[in-house]
Amino acid sequence: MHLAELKEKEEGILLRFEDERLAVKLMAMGVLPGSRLQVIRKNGSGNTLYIRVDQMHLAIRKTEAECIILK
Amino acid sequence: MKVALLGNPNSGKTSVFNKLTGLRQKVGNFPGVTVDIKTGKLQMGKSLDVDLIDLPGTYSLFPHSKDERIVVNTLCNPGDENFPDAIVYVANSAQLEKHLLLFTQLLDLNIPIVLALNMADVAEGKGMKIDNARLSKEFQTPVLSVNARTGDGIDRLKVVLEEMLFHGVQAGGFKGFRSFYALSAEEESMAEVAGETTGVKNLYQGLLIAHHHSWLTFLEEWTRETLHGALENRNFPLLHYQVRETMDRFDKLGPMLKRSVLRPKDQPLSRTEFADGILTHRFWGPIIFFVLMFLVFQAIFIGASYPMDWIEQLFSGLGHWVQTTLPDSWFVDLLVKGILAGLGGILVFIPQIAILFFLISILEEVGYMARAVFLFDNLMSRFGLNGRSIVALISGGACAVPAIMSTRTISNWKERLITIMVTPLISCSARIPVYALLIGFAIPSIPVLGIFNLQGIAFMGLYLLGITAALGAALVFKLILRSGERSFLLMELPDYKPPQLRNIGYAVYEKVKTFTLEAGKIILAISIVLWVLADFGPGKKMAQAEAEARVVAVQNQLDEAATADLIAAHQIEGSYAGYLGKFIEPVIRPLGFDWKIGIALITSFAAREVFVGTMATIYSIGSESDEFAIRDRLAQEKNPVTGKPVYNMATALSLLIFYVFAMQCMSTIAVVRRETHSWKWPIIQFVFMSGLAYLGSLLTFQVVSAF
Repeated sequence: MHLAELKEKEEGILLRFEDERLAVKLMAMGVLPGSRLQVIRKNGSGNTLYIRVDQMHLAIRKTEAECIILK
Repeated sequence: MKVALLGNPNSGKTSVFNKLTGLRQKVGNFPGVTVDIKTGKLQMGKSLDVDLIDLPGTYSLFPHSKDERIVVNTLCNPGDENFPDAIVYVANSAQLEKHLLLFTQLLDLNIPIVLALNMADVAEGKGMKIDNARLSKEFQTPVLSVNARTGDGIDRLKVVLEEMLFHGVQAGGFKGFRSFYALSAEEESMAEVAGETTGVKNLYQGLLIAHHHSWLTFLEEWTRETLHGALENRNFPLLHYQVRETMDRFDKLGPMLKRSVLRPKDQPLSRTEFADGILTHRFWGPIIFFVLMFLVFQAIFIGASYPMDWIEQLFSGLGHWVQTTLPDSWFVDLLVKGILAGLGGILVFIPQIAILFFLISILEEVGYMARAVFLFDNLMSRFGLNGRSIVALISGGACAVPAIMSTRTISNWKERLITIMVTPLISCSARIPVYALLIGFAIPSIPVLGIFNLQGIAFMGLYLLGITAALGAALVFKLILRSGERSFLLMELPDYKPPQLRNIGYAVYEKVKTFTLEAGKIILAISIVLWVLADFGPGKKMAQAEAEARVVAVQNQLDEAATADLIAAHQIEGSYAGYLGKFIEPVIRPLGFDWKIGIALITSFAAREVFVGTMATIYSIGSESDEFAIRDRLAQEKNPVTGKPVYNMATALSLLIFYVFAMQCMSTIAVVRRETHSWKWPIIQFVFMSGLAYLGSLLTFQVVSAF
């Protein structure tokens, strides 16, 4: 299951990334395997996600969220 | 001595920079690239000469955007002119776990570093307790709390920095260098190859050079090839090692922070999330955004009108004074009609730009702009743009010059280029005087639905036309331009916080300065060129024109002022500008323009706002060149052949459309050239915008005339 499949208010634990380039970028921002992710809001017909990672908030595209695999 | 300021985006780095340097800062350029570099003088105890360099905010030394690459390029090259003797690392205390990755990478570069924990009060408010002494022991480097808002800890930071710069880290009781990250055997061997080929001593610097050899600017071609070969031989997948290193650093960092940072278990729902429940709502979010933007523009028009009037009056008064005080000569003429008029033309835009950036900076400081990006990313990406483009497009409403410069935060080259290409289609403040003059002429001021005015609606319509054209052009560029680069949104939405007046003040100051210097010098130069074009003619044409006019004036028994008007009108026809206008007349006649408008169009290709002044000169009402005087004069103008008015509704509308689309700003062209590193893009932009303007005007004039 990947992050984009979560509905609003649902959460999951990050397992791994499908894409190494994105992984480098996300991990540098502190989004790591084991992080708790919650989808707070989906906008733009579900193409833009507002997520919470621990105490941080991120805006992320659906295509990017699809590379984040959850437990 | 050089000190670099580093930190993640949203760490409050800029506030710390402003607090440390005050007004002793200047903006320059990184050598070879177009990214701005801010440097300031650090006033140390013994009045030492220390430069503080504000490096772009970045999350790690594995960068993705052009700005972030600057950081690696500077720190990997000990020969770089900005290579620091010490680093001040700013971290947001409330996000400490996430903000220390870059710090651990910097530790491994073996450059003296001090960790400044910013916003400690916010962290405390969240119930966090940070043990600075413990952290200092863990990292073997000074750690202290600062508050860029109140200035607490800033003096202490300077003392610590001074100690470190002049007595070394060991003097503070710290052990010598030991690396945070233990390189694997493969990484070490790769780092050594990089060290041998570049002469870099530090092992981690070597590893970074190996990682980034494909784009580091200071590497020579043979170095690049050697490193590339070595990587191939060793089967060293770069991204894989970057992921591994990042993981390893966080694994090490976790327990260290557990020992020194106390976090309450239950975190209350943050106020930020509560506010975003409305502000990023899929329905209310965009509405609030547009209401905010509407208020911003209202504030510009209302707030700027008085200071603009004062500036105009000041310069016309000054010109009058010079003309009456000094003896009549070509030099006085140049001073009044060229230099003073040009300076006035530059300064008159400062109130608008200051107000726009004041308000936009507030929205940025508060954290709202990131939400705007979130709200519009989906829409913008359909047009080949990025959520961040919305900021540039809105700023383009004031002036395309700073707007185009603001696209630097877009890391994807294609999206950035498209934003640069279409931003000048957004109606900027320089079009306002032209719009005002022509709308006042062509559209009657009648109420609509009781509360609106038809002229206001026309104004709005022109803005919307500009926006539509920008998005349409973006779509075309999206289809034409090819790019292998991947587009990211991935952006932190920082917690909302009250704005800091100091930061906003500096931002406004910087933007106004940029406009005055970047666009100002061109406007001034063009103003002088214009004066030459309008005041001089081939051969004895000018003298002949004056003699002719005098004869006509005597015949019609005109008074002194009317005689002067008539002379000027005859002279401009005989001037170089008149010849140019007549030369292009056949091309612009299908748009409803005569040679006089032709002159104004030519002068406007330098800067749009020149149009109004040129029209005043052409009709020699420079002494009373306010909007209404010009408008009345235009209404009287008759076609000498047909006897019909030259400026009818069709001509005015056609001109309006022309000004919406045409690329009539040399300052913008100069900035686009600077930002894209080539003449190719500004030329393409000039051609497509002028083509659009010509076709749009042609269609408008022909259709409106037919009715």
